[in-house]
Amino acid sequence: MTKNKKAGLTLGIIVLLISSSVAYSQYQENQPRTYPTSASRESINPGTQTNSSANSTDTSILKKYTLAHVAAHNTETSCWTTINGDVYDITSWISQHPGGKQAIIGLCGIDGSDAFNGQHGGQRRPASELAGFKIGTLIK
Amino acid sequence: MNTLKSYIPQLPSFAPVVLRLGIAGVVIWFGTSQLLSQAMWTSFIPDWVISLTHLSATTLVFINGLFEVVAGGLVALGFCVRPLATLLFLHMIGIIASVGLSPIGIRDIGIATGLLSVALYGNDILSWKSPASTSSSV
Repeated sequence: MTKNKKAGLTLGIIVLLISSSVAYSQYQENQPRTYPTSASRESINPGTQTNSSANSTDTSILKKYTLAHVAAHNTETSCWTTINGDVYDITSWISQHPGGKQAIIGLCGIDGSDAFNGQHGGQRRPASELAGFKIGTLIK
Repeated sequence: MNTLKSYIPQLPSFAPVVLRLGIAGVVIWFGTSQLLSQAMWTSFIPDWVISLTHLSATTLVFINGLFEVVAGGLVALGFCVRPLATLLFLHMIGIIASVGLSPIGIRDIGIATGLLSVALYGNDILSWKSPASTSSSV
């Protein structure tokens, strides 16, 4: 084997290892977290309004939804998703998403935590954009 | 300084090597990401592919990821550079057509251009079949 071939193979192996390692480490970082639980949650009745001020200074009223509620809104005209324990109405975001409509339509009616964390985990802008679509919290 | 100047004429010959390794690294990253977490990528599979193949979106993502890791890995190692780079370029064209002219699509056009450049150049000085050692680079 010539010197150039050895160098080429070595570099190729290094690139392979680095790329796979980076992808794997990002995958590990974005593993889904367990939803936060709180002993002071008042009601478990689905869709009921409840005061969320128990653990924060935010006095806004947040509705609680089950996964079944989210699943019922699984179309382009009414698109809900749940991400990291919160429920979002992302219907209006479908046409605005920089990555295209399909990426958002794929989240309609399901738990989008894996997809969102994998694509945007740790990024401030997507998280702040998402916060604007929050309509409630998820209950199991 | 003189030693450094003596290396400058050799630099252009490493340009295609850098391009090949960089592009291969990106392809391997995407492939590995798809193999590890199919759920993240299923929304990018067009409906017509699912109905044509009768395979689930998760299976298609897995197959796509495997293809990208294998093809990208072989390109990084310098094997079958031209055929695989051509195949990956055509693959990227399909992805761009599906994603459209969004920021992701524009970025993918850049990646496709790099792959086309690698396909056109063929084997470089560090490939398994470097131009100096073979008469045919395909």
